[in-house]
Amino acid sequence: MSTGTVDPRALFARLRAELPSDVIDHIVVIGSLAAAYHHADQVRGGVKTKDADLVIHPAGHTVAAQEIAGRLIQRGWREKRDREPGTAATPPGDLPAIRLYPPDHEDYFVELLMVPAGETPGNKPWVSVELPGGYYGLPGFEFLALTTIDRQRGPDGIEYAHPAMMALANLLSHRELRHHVMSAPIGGRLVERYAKDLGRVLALARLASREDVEAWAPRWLFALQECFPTRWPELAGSVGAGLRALLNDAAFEEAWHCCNVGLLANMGVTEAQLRAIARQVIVDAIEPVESEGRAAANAEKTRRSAGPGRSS
Amino acid sequence: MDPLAAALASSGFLPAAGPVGQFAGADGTIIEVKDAQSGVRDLRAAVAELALRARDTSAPRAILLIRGARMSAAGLRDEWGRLLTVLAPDIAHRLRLVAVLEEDVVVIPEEPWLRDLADRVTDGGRPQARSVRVDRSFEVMRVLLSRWLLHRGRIAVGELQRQTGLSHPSVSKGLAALGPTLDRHRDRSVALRAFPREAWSQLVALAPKVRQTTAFVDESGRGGDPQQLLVRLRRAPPPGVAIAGVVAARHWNPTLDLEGLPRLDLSVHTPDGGMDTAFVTWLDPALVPAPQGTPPLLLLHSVPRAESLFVPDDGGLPWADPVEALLDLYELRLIEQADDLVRALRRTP
Repeated sequence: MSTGTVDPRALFARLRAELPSDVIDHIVVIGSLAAAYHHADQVRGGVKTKDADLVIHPAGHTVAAQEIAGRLIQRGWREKRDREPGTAATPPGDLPAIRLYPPDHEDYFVELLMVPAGETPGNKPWVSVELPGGYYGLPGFEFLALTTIDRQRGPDGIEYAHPAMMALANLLSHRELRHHVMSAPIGGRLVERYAKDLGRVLALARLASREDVEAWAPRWLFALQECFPTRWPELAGSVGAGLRALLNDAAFEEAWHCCNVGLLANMGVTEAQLRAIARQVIVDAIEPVESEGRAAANAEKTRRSAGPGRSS
Repeated sequence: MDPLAAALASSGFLPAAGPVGQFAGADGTIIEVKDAQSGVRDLRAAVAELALRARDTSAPRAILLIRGARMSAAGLRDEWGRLLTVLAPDIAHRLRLVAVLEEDVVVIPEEPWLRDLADRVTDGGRPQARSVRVDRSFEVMRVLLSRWLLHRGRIAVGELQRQTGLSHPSVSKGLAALGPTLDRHRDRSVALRAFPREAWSQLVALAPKVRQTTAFVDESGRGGDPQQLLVRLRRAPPPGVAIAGVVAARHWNPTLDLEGLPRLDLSVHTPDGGMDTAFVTWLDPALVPAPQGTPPLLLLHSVPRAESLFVPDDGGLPWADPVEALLDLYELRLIEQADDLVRALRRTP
């Protein structure tokens, strides 16, 4: 791990060995580590991350999150202090995230995230959590719940998010391309967040077969209906808007860069190839889901316009 | 889909509703294609038209794509720069230029995505060479050979004219080319009595032009699998498309001595002239027109006669007639297998 890359299988084995088993029952690994673990045979040379993003489930379980962090600290896990913790008066959004090193080394750290309850749209406020060192924030992103659907379990017994669900969460998070440059450079460059996240979708698609990507569509529909029972038609109907816009955006090159220093490193994927992958994702997975979403939205509109008592 | 449309589709631009030559991207960017601009006056008119469209729409960018102009690259740049100065700034800053000239490609401003677009359309966007006049009298031999291989017997010349869609003189020319291999009957019907080697050799030599073959390669880097393309195609068979090539050869001769599938050949019925390749985008949007010398993954061959002679199949996707498969085997230089196919079909009554 000293070269800056980690073998995803080795890191999962260490998580299994170092996390208490009752904590393991409540977490799902997401992000590049989960993706690299799922495609470990293809992700040559490991993945450049020291960060194991752990989503705590079930949704809205702040107490569990607080307990998990507390239990880890009790067992000697140490806070990774990028910023000083806050106080009870600090607005949750200004609090540092909960990042913890294992007791004996700093080869990796875990970061805790929470699944927000409900399906209300928009950014989710961070939740303030009191730990022995002070107050920390628990982020809960709008589409994080999707990563807990269709969870996968490797031989280590640790659950991780299915690549299809991470792809869906990223697509939905960037249906509009909003200018927001990442605070930390990726592969030596500052890039747009949407380019990084939508690039991840393409990397996941490239690591899967075309048949796998086709199978994303029914998984996506199921997950959307499960997590967003009232919003799903609108979400499904617009799932590809951001990726389509990215194809005509100058930042596509940044997405390609992120892939080539990340999950697709050493695979020699050209920008033209990545564009072709994007077109395949649109035809194979996005269009079927959009079509279902629009049909459901139209049916709902028709039902409403028929008014009460008119529907058969 | 012509090569330019295919190249634009590969960049995410599809034909827009409205006049031919207008394309639109997912973010609302519009493209106006103008062929053979004769000079400054044409360019000014095209820019004015595009500026009006940009004003009337919320297009974030409006691209003028010129294919061929009687202007130098330098002259084009100067005039473009001058024209932008007289436009309202909120319109001028949205306009882009891609000009594919005989010797140069002009891209203004030099943005990576616009250069990428220019690179993609360069092959498909060059002014089309005057189309080679295709001798369609070969259709006479193709129809008669198909009947001979399938033991269908003789055909009235009038019916032959109907099936080929050719004029009487063209049918006569096609029949004359078959020489002694043709049997003419008193009831004005005809049939082949043997394989027309000489006429066949001429057809094979001219096949790419006669069949107006369009080749595609995979751009995704995954390699592409012709078998998978076939599976996908069978799920939703496009109208007027039939399986040809090695797959059809195996259909017509199940004992064909050939392993694997090097590429997928399809025959496309084109009685009205143009080949509609829109289904390729659905089949695999990573397919792009094949650069010369690159082994193709997919080939589309035009069948321009009035009757396709495609043979329906329970699977939904019809089979091209055996002559199509035979031509594909010859193109793949699988001569032995081609001869086997002829022998197998003639053996089976």
